[in-house]
Parts: sequence; structure tokens; C-alpha cells
Amino acid sequence: MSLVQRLGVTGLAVVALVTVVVASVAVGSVSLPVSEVLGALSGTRELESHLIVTDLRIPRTVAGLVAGACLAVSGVLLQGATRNPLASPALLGITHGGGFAVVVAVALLGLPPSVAVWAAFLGGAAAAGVALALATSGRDGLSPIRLVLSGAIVSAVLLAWTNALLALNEHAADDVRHWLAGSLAGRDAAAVAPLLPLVVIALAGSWLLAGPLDALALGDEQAVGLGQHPTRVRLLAGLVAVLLAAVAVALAGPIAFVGLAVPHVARALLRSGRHRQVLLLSAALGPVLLLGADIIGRVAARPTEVQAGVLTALIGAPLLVRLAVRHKATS
Amino acid sequence: MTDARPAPVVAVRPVRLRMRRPGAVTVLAVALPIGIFAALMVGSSNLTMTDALAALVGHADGSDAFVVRGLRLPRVVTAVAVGAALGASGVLLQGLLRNPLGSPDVMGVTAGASLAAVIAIGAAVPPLLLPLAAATGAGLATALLHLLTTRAGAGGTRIVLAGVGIHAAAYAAVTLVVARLPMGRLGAAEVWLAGSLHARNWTHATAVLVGLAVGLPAAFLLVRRLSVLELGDELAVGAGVALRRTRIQLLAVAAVLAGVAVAVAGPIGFVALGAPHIARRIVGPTSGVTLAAAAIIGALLVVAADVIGQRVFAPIALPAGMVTAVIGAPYLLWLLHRWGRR
Repeated sequence: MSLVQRLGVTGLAVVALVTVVVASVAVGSVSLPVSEVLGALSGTRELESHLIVTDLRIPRTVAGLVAGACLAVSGVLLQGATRNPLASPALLGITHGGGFAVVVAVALLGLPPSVAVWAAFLGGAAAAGVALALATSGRDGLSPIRLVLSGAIVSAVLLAWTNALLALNEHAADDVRHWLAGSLAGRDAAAVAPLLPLVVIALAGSWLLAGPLDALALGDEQAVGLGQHPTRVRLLAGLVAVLLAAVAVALAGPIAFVGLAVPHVARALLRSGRHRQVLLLSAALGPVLLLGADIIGRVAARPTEVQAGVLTALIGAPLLVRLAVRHKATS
Repeated sequence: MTDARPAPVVAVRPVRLRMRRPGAVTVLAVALPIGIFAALMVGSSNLTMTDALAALVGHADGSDAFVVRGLRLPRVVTAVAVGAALGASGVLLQGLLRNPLGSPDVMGVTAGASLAAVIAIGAAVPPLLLPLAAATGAGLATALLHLLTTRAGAGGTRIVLAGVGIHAAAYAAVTLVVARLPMGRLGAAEVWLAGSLHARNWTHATAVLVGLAVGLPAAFLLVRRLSVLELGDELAVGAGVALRRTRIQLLAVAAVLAGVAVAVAGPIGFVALGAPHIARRIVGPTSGVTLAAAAIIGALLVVAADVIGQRVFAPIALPAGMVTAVIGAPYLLWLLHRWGRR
């Protein structure tokens, strides 16, 4: 792909990103005149509409930006590390593992919400570990489809247990249920800031891992020939991916299919699998998908809202079916 | 467990014929009435065996008779019929897809039924039409599965993954529909979606019994061809089975059975998955006896789950669907582990 085309794709992604951010601030279940939105952005806090924009819409836009980018980059890393086009935080059990751990830690044990991201990290890593162990326990070794199937089943188990915990604990349930559906609504801007250093470190780590992952894509032997340690690269990429997914879970709840779909879209647009380019484009397109789903959710069922996670599943699940039916289980 | 599995498509091994154990089926057939009777005895007021029996045959005072015959009996009958339908549906789908994970709740059939039922609740259709709507939804999801299986080949794990995708999409759509429901119908939809047998009356029992009366004999008629189909497509053609027609018939019957069960009790997970496996362990490879055993085991599982959900955390009552999910989900993990080792 020529430089011009690449710039064109990048430009389009940036335009799309700016469009959803603007739309996310301007559009909501309550329609506000443009002048009031602009007034709120310039710092006025007089009308109710100004407060809606600054206290509700801007925090959820920021949360959507961060969570969308994290999920998409996490998906790129997982697909690269497992060389499996079906790998993604949700399909490997990371998302629901994190969700279960957050429910246990925050809703049942009453720990402060600031530990949510670490609970999500531990839960996600544990769930992914179980899924991996199950997938490799077979005689035929680790097949791509088995890995994803194990993850899907681990997710189903954790989802069932989460629901049972909530059914037995009704007052905890009310706080958590909305979050568990994968929603950006009601995000606190203060919740995003402490996570930002973590996000920056993880994103920098994935940028550094892009080269080794390119080598890994050639096959393990070639990667060793190029001076890489495949196991170490996989482990690091897995850890960074779990960390990114944990941030997204802590911010937006268990949202599925963003991490699966976005890397595929990015690769298709770039017509290339070079990890550095795919990472950059995915980091831009992840928020586009998540915020886009969030905006549709705000207007689709006025005056109530549909959680963003529901819409990403509606968009992403058909892609899973297509990949599952088309994908030749080769590697 | 090994000889319970269908032979793989490529390496056709001679099917090991196992002694069918009529004894095991007899034990199951005795266990079912005992389970039903136990379910009639326990509840928010526990009855002694004699009281419950007296109430059942009609020699009891007003309140006991009302509790047993008016409240518990229809609920238990519904549970039995729902469990039997789920167990039979699981046998058909697992055999057809030649995959131990191919059950209606994993493959999106239950989710399709849920979607149709939620839409029907939103459209305020009369409760009697709800089973019809759910069966239609199950049928549509199964038809989609059929289109995908014929393209990708019936065996193989990827079709399960496609089913997982259908399941995810349908459940997302369920959430979407529920979000748009008017307040008055929201409660009905949520109670139904939890997979509960709470407050089931004779209307529900009749609806699922009618479905069972249609689906179960059809399943028994098809089970012979199913056991040939499990040997692989080539062998089945060689044995004179019309592949396409048999598959469509099997899918249709499985959809009807799963559909009526879901329509009456909501999505009760893992019964359709677990019951056939337990049945095959007890009585051997797919046959009419396995089908009967799976239906009885499914019935026992749902009755037991309902009693556990009512009593263990009393006064909080858990829906039966939640009990089967919490207990059945780890079993699914174990199954996946074992499956890889064959």
C-alpha cells in the first residue's frame, strides 16, 4: 500500500474519530441546541443543559475514547500473540473474568472502586489462564478454534456465577448491574484520570511489541532466527493485553466484540498485517466503534438508553459467525 | 465416556455395541416419580409424606390440597415436561452436529427462542401464543444454523463457534428489545428471562405437554437414522439415509422441543447439554433407550434445580435456570477438558 493511500486511511480514521467525539458531546437522550453545547464547552455552567454536557457527556466520551482504544489494541496484541484471528479479550474470557472479579471485589467485599482495575486484571488473567490450560489439554494441542471455544465457555461459566452472586445480593446488584451490561453512562471523569498512566505505559509497551509480533507472524522458527524469544514475546503481549482489557472493563464494564472486530477492520483497510500500522489504526477505530455504539444506544430507545455493549455485540457477533465459518483452521 | 462419543467423520471405527441396560432405565423411571413426590412435599411449607399423599389424592383439608394440587403439582409437571423436552432436544442436536457441545443453549437455539418470546411479550400477544412464538424463534435460529452447517460441514468445532456467535447476537437483541419494552411488560419479560418455574399453572403445563406430545414421538422415530448419521455422512448415505431430509427433520424436531421448553420456563441452561451426556454414560451410544434416559434425566435435573433454587437460599428463591447454570457451567468446562483428550 502506497504512502498516499496509507495517509488517506489514517486521515479518514482521524476524521471519523473527531466526528464521533463531537457527536458524543452533542447528541444524547435529551436533545440540546448547539449554542448551549458550545456554551458549556466554553465553560459556562448556568443552565441544566450546560451541566448535562460537562458532567455527563464529556466524562462518558473520555471513558469511551480510552476504553475503545484499550480494547482494540488489546485485540491486536492477542491476535498477534496467538496468531489466531478469533482471539480477542472477550472471546478468551478476559472480559468476563475481569467483570466477575470486579463484582466480587467491589460489590461483595466492599473494596473501594479504585481497586476495580487491579481486580479486573487479576480476574482477566486468571480466566485467560484457565481458558489456555483447557485449550492445550487436548491431544491435538492448541488449535485456534479450541482456544476461542474454551474462552467462550469460561466466559459462560463466569457470567452464570456473576448473575447468581447478584441474585443473592440484591442491593449490591443495583449498583453493578448497569455497569455489567457494558455501559458508558454515568462515568465519573475522576475515574479516568488515575488510570491514564497505566494506559500510557501499556500502549507504549504494545508499540514496542509490534516489531517482535511481526517476526512472530512469520512462524516461531523464523522469529527465533530473527533474534526473538517467541515465548517471552507472547507472555509480554498477553500481559499487556490483559492490562488494557482490565482498564476497559474497569471503565466501561464487560464490552465484547470491539477487540475482535476492530483489528480485522484495520487490517482490511490497510491491506496489511504490519502490527505498528494496525495498532495505530485500531487505537483510532476502537473509540469510533465504541462511541458510535454508545451514541446509537442513546438515541435508539429514547427516553431510555441501550448500553453500548449490547450494540457492539449486535455488530460484532455476525463477524464472529463469519470468521468461524470461513476461517480455515490452519495455524 | 469414550465409547459414548460418536465416531469421528474421517476415521470410521466399528461402533462398539454396548449392552443396553434396561436396569438403568428402570432405576431412572422409578427415580422420576420419587423426585416428583419429593418436590410436592417441600416448599415454603413442608408437608409430611402422608399429608402430601393425602392432598394429592384429594383427602386433605383445603389449604394442603390447594398448595399441593393448585400450586406445586402444575409447577412440577411443567418442570418435568420442560426437562424432558430439553433432554431430548439435546440428544438430537448433539448427534446431528456430532459434537458434544452441540446443545440448544450453546448453539443459539434457546437464544433465538428467547428473542422471539421477548418480542411477543412486547407485542402483548396472549400467553397461549407465547410457546408458538418461542418455537418459531427457535426454528429460525436453527434454520440459520442449518444454512451454516451445510456450508461449513456438519462436524467440527467451528460450527459450535458459529452457534456461539448466533447466541451472542440474539442475546444482544434480547437486551435491546427489553430496553424498549414499556414498564408494564418489563417485569414479565425479566422474570421469564431468568428461566423460572415460579407460578406456573396448568395452562403452562398443558402447553409444554402438547409440545412434548408432538416432539417426543417424532424424536423416537428419528433416533434410528440419527444413530446411523453419527457414523459419518458417507456411511449414512451408504446405509440409505436421505441426508438432507433427515437433517432438516432432526433440526425441526429439536427446535420444537427446545422452543416449547423455553417458551414455558424461559431459558434454562445446561440441561439440554448435560442430560444426553449423562444418559450416554449410563445406557451407551445413541438409541431410543438413550433418548428416553436423557428425557428422564432432563426432567429430574429441572425438578431438582427448581427445588434447590426454592429451598437452599430461602427466603430468597433462585430461578431454576440460575441453579442449572451455576452447577452446570463447571460441568461444561470438564466436558471440554475430557473432549480434548479423546
